[in-house]
Amino acid sequence: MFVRMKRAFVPVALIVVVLGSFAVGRLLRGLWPSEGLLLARFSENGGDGLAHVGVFKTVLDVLDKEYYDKISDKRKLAYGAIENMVASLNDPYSEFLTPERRKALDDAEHGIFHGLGAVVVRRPARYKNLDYMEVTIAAVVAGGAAHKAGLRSGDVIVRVNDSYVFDLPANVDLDSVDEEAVISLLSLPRQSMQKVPQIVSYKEVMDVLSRDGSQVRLIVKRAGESKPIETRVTLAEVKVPAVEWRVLRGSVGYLKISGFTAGCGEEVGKALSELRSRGCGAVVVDLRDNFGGSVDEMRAVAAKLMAGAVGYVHRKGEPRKLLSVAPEEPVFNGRIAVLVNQGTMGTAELLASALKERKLGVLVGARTFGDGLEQALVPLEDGSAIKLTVGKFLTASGRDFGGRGIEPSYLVSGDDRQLAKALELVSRPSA
Amino acid sequence: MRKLGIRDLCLVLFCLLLSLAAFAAGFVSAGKDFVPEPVRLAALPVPPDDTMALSAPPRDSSGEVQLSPVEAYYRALSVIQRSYYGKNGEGVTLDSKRLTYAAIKGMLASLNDRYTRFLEPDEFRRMEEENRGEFGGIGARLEKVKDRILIKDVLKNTPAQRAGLKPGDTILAVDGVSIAGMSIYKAVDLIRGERGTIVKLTILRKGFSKPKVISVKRDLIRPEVIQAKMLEGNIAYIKLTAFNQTSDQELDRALAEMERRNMQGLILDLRDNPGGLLSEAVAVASRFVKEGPVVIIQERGGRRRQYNVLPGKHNHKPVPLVVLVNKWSASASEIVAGAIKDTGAGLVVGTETWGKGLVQTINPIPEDGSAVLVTTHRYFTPRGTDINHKGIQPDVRVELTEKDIETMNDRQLKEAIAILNGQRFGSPVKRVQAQKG
Repeated sequence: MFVRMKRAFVPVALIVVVLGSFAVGRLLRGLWPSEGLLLARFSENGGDGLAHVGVFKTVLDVLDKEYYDKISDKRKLAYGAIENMVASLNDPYSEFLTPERRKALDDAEHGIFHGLGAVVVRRPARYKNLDYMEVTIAAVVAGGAAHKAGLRSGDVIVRVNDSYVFDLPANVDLDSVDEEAVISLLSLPRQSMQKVPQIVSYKEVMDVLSRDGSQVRLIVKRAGESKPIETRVTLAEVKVPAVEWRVLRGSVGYLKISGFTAGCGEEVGKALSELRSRGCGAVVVDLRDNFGGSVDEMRAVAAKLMAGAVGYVHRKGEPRKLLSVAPEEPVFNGRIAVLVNQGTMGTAELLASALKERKLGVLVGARTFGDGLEQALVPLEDGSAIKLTVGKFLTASGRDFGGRGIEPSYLVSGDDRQLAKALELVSRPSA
Repeated sequence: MRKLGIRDLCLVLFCLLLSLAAFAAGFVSAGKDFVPEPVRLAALPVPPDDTMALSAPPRDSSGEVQLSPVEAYYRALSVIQRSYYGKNGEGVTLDSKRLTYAAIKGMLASLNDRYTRFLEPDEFRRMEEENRGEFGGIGARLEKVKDRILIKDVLKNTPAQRAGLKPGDTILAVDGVSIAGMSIYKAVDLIRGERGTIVKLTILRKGFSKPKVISVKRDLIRPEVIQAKMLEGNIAYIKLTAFNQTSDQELDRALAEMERRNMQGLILDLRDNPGGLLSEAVAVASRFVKEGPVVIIQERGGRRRQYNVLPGKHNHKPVPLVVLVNKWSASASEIVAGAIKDTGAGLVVGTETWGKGLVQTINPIPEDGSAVLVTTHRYFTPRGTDINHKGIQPDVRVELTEKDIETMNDRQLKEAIAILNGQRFGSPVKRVQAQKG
């Protein structure tokens, strides 16, 4: 039969076999673990990393299909997602940076500041039962708008133009906030039907304060002042020289480092050799309102002043790593006084602590800011970025200065008196 | 029969090969149907020195690089889980669920539409309960005064009443967990639960020397959405407080009862009614509007759909009708008020309404029991008015002053009564009575 029917049967059988196999193939593939299952399996292997990608995708699909309005800018969705995810960490130093904000940060690494000309941070604070975030001027850049308006590090911004500044930690539900406490904290006018006072968050404050060329009215609270201080600030770009130096009386050199911006290490080297050639055997290193910056530039600076351990950096799940510097001849070996204040931040605090703990310099001024965390920039391909806390700096003796800051050996208040004290200390022949 | 030759063997082999190829083709082609858009598993960023060059990132029409939301979310999630330090090297303490929810909420917030929002599983459950009009609970209304949570009201024939709870009682803790400073929603969440289970409330009451723990057995609670009474002059007053699955049915019952008591005029109070289900709004409006459209909805792209009066719902004797509205009458309340105003089925009295001319659709997400509430349509009143941000303008505007509220002087209700008694525009009720007599 096989032979007899061969001519007619073969083509038909071939088609049936091919189609059948194709169908069986499709069917089997359909029984293969679906996306959800695959994702779930990954999640078992690698923490809970991928477990919820599907939920995010589902929400996005629903928006794509059903949202009543055209979503013209998908990028805004992406930004909103990352921004809130990073905010949910409740770490004041981690944030999402739009391309504009990232450019501002890149500029700052080269000593160019926009808007207020100050580092503005959020800091946890408490009022009665209310946990909130203060918006604080952490470090003021010399010659910038804030500096010209007389604002100082430590000033808490309470009003911007007509708006009241109020920010909450990410994990605090707006529902659970005690309204009365907010009203009394901000001294809001009692609610009238006509005009509801406008409240702005840290992010909104930053938006307003980053616009070069505009004028803003700021009201700040300053420690030791009974009344809030009102100022008008003209926001403008400012370029800060990485290093300024001069010779003080008695052959003492003065070296001001505003931040560890690009090329700072080299500049310090040049300045020190100039000072040396002018016969300076002692130097006052001014780290007041130094906003910190690149740890590599800080080490380049340290290499001109010392050798060996500057401190440690600790990253998640790793043993702490020694940050040391190889001496770069000629290392300055005269007496060193270091000026610090509450605006001395991050890597500047680390340098100050190294000089103090290694007994290479004497610290004068006020307790430093207390920012011991290391941030990294995670660039995204469209020019935005995530600034993320990825580690912590510890001093050469292993001390954590986060929140506490570095205490100077000589607590002195007042800019001029701090400098005078430093000068006195390095002028005296060492005991 | 002849023996199989080499040619036949070749043929069989050929068939086998062919079927194998077809199987593979089928397998692969089916895979194309559902393989997810590629989620990059390799080459994740390791700050600080990863430059994360990607091959040809997607660009939009203007040539700018477009960050895809899924990719961006995934990238951020990975880098946070891998590298975030935390306060003391503990890393991220939120699980990927919390981070994902934060991302979703952030994404939705970027739309600047307050009604499009993500509902976590417990919020979704609560919304479903509200829409059903019943839930497992104790039957007490709570309010927050400063940072204390008090019992405002105890509903009749509920576990709360049987357990002796009283208005004014302060709830300090639920099942031993302090609720001081907690939001009222969170507290309600803790107190609600499956019917038949026990909840232990730590209660402070005037006259108690110290807090007392009271056990309450949860039951099915059906909060009333309707309050109905007959006013002087046979004017029925019906207050509808929400549009859930029971609203239309309850209204039908109340109208029948009022009809039995010789209703000659009707005040439908929709003040402070925040709305609810669209289907119920259409059903409720159908009780008063005779025919034609109740509301028109429009999706993205402009396609419109009209909801007409539902057959069989217009079953009560028409009487002069006044609808009371205020700033807090929203959504479904505005649909009903708008339909009644536009069709002349009644007069709208009070103040301008909330102004929510948008319809949301609940999309459950089966993966984790959450849901996303998405604004899917605009809506228009029967005459095509867009009320978004504008609200419904009342036919007769009556504002309540702060003093009116303090002294409980309900001038809006008084105006409605006056209208129905014919003291304003002729004599609607008397006219009806005259027709009858």
